[in-house]
Amino acid sequence: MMYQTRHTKRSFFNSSFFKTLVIFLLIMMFALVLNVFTPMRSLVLEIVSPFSRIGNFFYSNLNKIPNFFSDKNKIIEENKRLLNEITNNHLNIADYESVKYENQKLREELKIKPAGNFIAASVIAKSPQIPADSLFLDKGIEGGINSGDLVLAGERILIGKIVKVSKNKATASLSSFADAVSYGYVARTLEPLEIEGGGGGSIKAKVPIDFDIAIGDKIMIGGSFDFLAAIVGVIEEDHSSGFKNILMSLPVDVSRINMVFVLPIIRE
Amino acid sequence: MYRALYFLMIIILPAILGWWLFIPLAILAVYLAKLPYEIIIAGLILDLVYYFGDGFIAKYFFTLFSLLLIVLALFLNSRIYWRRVM
Repeated sequence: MMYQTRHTKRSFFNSSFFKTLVIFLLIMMFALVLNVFTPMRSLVLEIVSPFSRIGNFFYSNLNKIPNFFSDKNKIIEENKRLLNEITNNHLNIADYESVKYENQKLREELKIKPAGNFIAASVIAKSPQIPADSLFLDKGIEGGINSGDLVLAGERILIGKIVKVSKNKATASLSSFADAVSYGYVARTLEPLEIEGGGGGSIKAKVPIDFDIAIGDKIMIGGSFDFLAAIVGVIEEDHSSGFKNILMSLPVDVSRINMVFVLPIIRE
Repeated sequence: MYRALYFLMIIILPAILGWWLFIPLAILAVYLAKLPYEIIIAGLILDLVYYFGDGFIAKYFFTLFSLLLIVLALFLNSRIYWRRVM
């Protein structure tokens, strides 16, 4: 008697696998189309941004939780100190306004162009909500922001550039974003320098060992204006290779920033 | 029903608490549900929100990650039996 053995081993590369493969390819094509289709991106960002705001509020208040369990006298002391600080700040603002007015008048007399048309944008989300070294902003194409525009923390402090933009939202990548390369110079010596983002708020550079640079040196990026881009924090000399590894940080603490200024670049 | 709720959760929770949350939630989805293709859509949506860089992998990081998970789940599905909750 002959027995026919039934093949029971299921192959991984069966028809359902190929069907799934086709679905995957369609999904990838759909993803490609979706990424270049700005209205769709705008819609998604409009839906997601309220949740990002909630998260941002949560993370910015997380460090305040220990205050609820602190001593009452300490809070009273802190309150007094803060009231004094507010009074000082009011005086500083008054000084600033008078200096600003004087500056404006002098600019007008000397016929110097105004400092720039900045677009103020609020930060909706930052790390750890979104990937490190990026900021999610509440203004987009309608607010006059375009991809490649410069992102400033102050009038002359450059922290990054706009990389993704939709109708009402934008994403900025900081100068410390991994592998982001910028070209600047050392403010003290005017020596040119190539700086590269190291991720996690750090910026690095590799220069010859005889390069004149010191801790605390300011790295500027030139353009229509000179912007402060980084501050030298650590210098490691590698005598065997004949190079210096320079570690820098952004001029401001990005985790404390809630508002940035976008400077549109001139397009021809 | 649970899968729909989980789908919403996989988009909303990373938006609130952090992008990295998508990774454990997607892995958990593959463990809890039978071939949860919806994580690819969630990945697609989150790729529109986050910026990881300009390269192809960085641009479609979550989509590719969820695709990889589904392929893995498909592979394991024909070899291992495990109880699905959703």
